[in-house]
Amino acid sequence: MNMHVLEVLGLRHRTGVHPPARKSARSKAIEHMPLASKVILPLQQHIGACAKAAVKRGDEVKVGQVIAESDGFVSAPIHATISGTVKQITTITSPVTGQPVPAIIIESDGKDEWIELAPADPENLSNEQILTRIQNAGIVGMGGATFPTHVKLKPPPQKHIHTLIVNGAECEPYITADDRLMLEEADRIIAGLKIVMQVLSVTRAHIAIEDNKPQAIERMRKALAQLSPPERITVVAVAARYPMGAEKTLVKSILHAEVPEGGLPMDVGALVQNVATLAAIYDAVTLGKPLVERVVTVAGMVSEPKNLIARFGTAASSLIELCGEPDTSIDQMIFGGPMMGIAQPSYDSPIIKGTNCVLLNRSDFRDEHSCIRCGRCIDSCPMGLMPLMFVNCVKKGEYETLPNYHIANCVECGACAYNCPANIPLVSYIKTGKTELQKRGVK
Amino acid sequence: MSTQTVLSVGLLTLIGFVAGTVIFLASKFLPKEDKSLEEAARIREFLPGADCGACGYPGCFAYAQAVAKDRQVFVNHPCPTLAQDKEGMHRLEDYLGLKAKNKVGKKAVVHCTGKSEALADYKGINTCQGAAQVASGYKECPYGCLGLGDCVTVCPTGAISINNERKVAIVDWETCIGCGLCVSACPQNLIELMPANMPQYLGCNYRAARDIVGRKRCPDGCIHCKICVKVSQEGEVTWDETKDLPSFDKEYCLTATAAIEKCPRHIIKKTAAYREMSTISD
Repeated sequence: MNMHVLEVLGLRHRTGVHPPARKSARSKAIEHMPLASKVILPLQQHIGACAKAAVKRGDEVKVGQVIAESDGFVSAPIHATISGTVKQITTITSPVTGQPVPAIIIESDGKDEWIELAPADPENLSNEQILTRIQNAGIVGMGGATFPTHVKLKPPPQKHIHTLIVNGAECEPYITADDRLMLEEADRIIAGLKIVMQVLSVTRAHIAIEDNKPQAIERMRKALAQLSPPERITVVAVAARYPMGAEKTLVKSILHAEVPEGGLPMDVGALVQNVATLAAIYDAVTLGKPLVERVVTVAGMVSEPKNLIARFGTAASSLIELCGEPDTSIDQMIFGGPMMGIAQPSYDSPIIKGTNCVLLNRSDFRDEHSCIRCGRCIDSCPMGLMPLMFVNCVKKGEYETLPNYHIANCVECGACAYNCPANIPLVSYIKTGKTELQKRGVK
Repeated sequence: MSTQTVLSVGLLTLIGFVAGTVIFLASKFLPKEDKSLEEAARIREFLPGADCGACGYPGCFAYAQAVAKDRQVFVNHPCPTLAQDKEGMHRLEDYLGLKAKNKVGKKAVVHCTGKSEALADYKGINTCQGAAQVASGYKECPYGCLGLGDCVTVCPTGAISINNERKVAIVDWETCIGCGLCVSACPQNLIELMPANMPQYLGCNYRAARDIVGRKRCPDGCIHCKICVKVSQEGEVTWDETKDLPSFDKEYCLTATAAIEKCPRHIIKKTAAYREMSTISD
């Protein structure tokens, strides 16, 4: 039965929250931004081992040249995103973790010279070759989690994957990067999708788009209709409810299957890929183009919100400059959306592979009050957890109790904190708890 | 009177009588209370009663019980808190008729002077642990004291205070009992227990091995010049290769006066013990 009907009848519990969408850059076509004169490339733009620098100070580099090689299985190489000279190899504060990470600074020569690309037809390539091309192009999950894609596409042999889910939900407010990409680059996305389906040898795919993006749904359906021979790919309009774009939520609402605790969607036979990742896979496999740029939405308190294609390493401040007059009361810049994004210490923080949005706003920090045990966090939790218990345990230092409340299942979406009438920053407590558990070596 | 009333009153009386007899017999024939508990209670009277756990036992009574069972526990591991109080120690020694070894207590030091500038406004959970989740805190130096007082909260004697200007924790050696609760509470691992007669400590935890240039980040940061090792006599200062920071001898607690004077950053801080020692030698 249709989920909406079940919800109306009260037979299915509605989880998640519904923050105002505020997608102000929705109608703005994607623009290429002018090349930066200098890029700062952190050597860890992905989850996993930090890449190892492969160039020296003073080296001449071209766009697409590998400047840092991946170190280990779960890792990804980093490519030069502008042509010029390596000016410095230094340490910066990571825009994601806030920990110091090594970084390479390249100064542009203004020529934008590319390395020689090697195009190929994916149908003539073996799976191994395709995976190698994806790995060499440095592709990671571009929805924000930045997990190296070649690892994700090589599931252990005992896991059978029958369905591919394409994540075009884009449930966070403000962000329109994936929405615009689907409208303008639908063919690239579908070409990438076909490559992934070929690698995993799955025949079934769903493209999940939130029902507040009717144009994108329309566009993707049209693109699918042109496929010959037709594939078993459907566009699914999922309810616009945060966090619909979280992997586990998507799997649950499309396949009606629960991912086991501590597991991955592959445990229920599904694999989720973001639309931007698919477009990048197409570029890498068919065109031989490494990942050097992405669509970034600049939104929030700027007069002209935009969707820009920015090379990695570009300072956020130069994106903001292109978007009109920023409001004077801005005191916070976030990479990512308002729900899960990370506030940056400086306006010069570089755009990296996982940065889908630069959000400027005024922080409305409110004082935290005591928990009144109203249970609104439980109502909103998409994973069916009891977030208030995590806060309780962390406040008392009873970290060993946290696994009893299944903290590993928390996806840190922030729905609980959004819904909390006492303004408790629940996610901060949960992250603290997870870190402490890790320190103690409890799983 | 109905038979029911008679029956119930009679039954209750009977139960009361039987139960009373059992209790009487138990008090007569069962072994008396553990003797060592009385002894432990008496030893407990001499202990500070902070229940800080510095001795390794869960509270003063547990320590007293251990001493009551085996006096050698006191000789080898005297209560570190009591060791601060000479008279109290004498009283317990007199009572037990034993002399304790290793009577030097421990004191906590904070390896940070808090001079690093704030990088951003931190708004969030008002604990160091919470702040440490975000970008290793909010200061330029990712290893520095966050000054939100996780250590103040756990300190049983109120020996730690926060300097709000520099946002750094300061330990008062007069009241510190060296229990080490603050050591485990600090998410930046800045607090260390030192012997109470340690004359100096390093006011920085800036490890070059972690690959950040110190001088840019903090005016008080260690620049790893190793001059402290060069100017001091053998054994006074050694270089800790894993931390890439100087370390001072903890066994003999030698005074490294030359190093204190020559440090270009003036971050080798004198302790209360240094002052005491210098007055003795004067």
